[in-house]
Amino acid sequence: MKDRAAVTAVAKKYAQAFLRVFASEISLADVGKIEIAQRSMQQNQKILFFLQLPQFDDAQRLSLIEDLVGHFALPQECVRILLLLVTHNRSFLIPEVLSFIVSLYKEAAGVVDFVVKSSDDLNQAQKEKIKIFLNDSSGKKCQCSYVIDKKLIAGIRAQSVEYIWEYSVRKQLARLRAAGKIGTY
Amino acid sequence: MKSTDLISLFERSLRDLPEEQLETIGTVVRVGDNICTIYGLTHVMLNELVIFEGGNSGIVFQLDENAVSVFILHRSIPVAELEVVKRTHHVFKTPVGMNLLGRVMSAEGLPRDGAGDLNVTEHRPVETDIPGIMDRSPVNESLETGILAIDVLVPIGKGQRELIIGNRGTGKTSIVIDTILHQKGKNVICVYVSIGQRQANVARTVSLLEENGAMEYCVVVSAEAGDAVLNQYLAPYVGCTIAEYFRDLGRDVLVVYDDLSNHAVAFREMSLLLRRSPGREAYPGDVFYLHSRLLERAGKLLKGGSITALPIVQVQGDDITAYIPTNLISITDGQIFLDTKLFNMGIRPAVNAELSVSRVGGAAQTKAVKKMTRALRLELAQYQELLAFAQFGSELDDVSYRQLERGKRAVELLKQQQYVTYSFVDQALMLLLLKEGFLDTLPLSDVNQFAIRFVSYVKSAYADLYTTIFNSQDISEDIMKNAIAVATEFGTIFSPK
Repeated sequence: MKDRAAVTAVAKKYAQAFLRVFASEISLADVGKIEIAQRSMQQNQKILFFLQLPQFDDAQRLSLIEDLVGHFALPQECVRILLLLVTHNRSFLIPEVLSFIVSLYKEAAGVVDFVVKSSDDLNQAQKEKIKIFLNDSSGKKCQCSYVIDKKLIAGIRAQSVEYIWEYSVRKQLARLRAAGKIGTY
Repeated sequence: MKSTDLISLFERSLRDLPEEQLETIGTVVRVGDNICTIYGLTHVMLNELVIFEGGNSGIVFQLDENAVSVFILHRSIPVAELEVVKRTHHVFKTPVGMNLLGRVMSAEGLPRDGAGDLNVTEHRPVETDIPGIMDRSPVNESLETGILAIDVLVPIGKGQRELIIGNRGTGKTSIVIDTILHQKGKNVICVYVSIGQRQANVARTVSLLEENGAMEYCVVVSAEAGDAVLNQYLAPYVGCTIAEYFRDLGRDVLVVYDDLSNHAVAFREMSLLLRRSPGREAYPGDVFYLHSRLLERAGKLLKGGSITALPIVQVQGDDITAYIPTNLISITDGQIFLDTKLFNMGIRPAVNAELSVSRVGGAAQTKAVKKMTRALRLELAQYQELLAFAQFGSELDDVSYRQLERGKRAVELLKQQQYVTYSFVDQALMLLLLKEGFLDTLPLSDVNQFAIRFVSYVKSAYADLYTTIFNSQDISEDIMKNAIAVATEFGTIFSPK
């Protein structure tokens, strides 16, 4: 399965099957934990390597998976999907399957992740105001993470995979530049 | 001024700022040669214009399950991976307006002549609905090219689509330039679309049009060989949209696509980059539709206004059975085939009378020319046949000999210098000389000179005869007698230079 598109298609099917069975039993908080686990496994491929070692029998392999689930505080339902992938020699699919579980769950629940960049630190009231604005504008539940970005010069930029909202001096300068009113910067 | 006033001014200026909206975006995940794959852009339309954050723009050409493929408009602006791409919610539009007359613009709607902004307010989508059957009028009005061989053998009517086909260097562009120059004072607007040509060639064409005062009724749309492939793809549609603007104002428009073989090559490049299945000659399956939907936009409308299309296509080794030429031959209302052999023999314009045809133009030909040319095509065909026969050195009977001599003179008469065009009256008078046998006794080298000087003689000494033919667009029995008398008189005073 060297073809990237084929790998993605198979991983998506596993994720869809998992959600069809367990979607009602996991929460948004669980999905957050799955996301952390996915990122961690993506970076540390050794975990997947251990799961696939032939020296382990089925019982030992199950124990390893339970340890893994416990470590990341994942919902117990994840044990089933991880075990299924490992026993079918498809442990390399695990990060991709988890990634799809996260994205498909959020899509179904109408949750959008926004990265809110601002030139200066925002207080809690401002963050809340931004979140309400994004919720109202997109018609979805927005989860925001906040980053300081001095390149904006002054202003805010909120970006998700699907949407963008920006009001900054950098954008105004870009507009003026595009209109040919100022030179390059 | 008080501080409170300043604050109110400040607040008012804030109100004038555009309100930022939540915009739908995508992210560049792959960048190739003029093509980008973009993740996101939910609900984007096919052919929608999208804007890249780095200043570039592009058009959506393929919608896949998780990504869309976009061709970029500016080759010079780099596109970065993970760059944000925004929707515009409208398809690509081109500027249109009266101010475009005399201008040279790019396919993306930017001025190319260094004469400042285009100063137009209206923009139209480049892909529009084709006029329906009931909106169209039959071709019944002549569009003179000023080229004797064409106006006589393959006449073009307003609203017709006549393909100009030939090898490279056989005078295809020269024919269309002559045709454009001949439209001066005839209330016809010309749109010249250059596709994939060298910049030097385009500059030469533009300066030629300027020198002859043709730019005042011309618009030049240029997508040069160095432009992004998308520009070359868009150029003919942009030119056609501009032509439609003038047509909708009730004007007659001549649009030249120079040339559609480069256009097909650009489309092939795009299709291969989009990984669409290649078909014959590696062109995609929908290459026919590419040109049919463009050329179907030409035509004459009942409410007034027409678009006459002169597409050009280049062939290799005089082979008109290649894929794109045969497609275009079947789409258009006829073709003018320029023969390399004739061109090399010094017969210019090198119109091959046997392979050239005009399916609808005959109905639009003026009566004066029609009367004079009734048997010319047949005579030329017989001449070509006899010429091949005479090459064997066999002896010819008197009739055949006369036919051969008449044919030689007809070919000689159809030769025409570049940038010199004839009105239909000139053409009718010249053909009268051939028809009535005034050229039969002349040496071949004097035929053209005799005809040209005869027309000048009629214009200066018998202006009323010339005007009568011009006004009636016909040659009656009386006019014919007069013209023959004048020709006889001229024959006695003619002396070759």
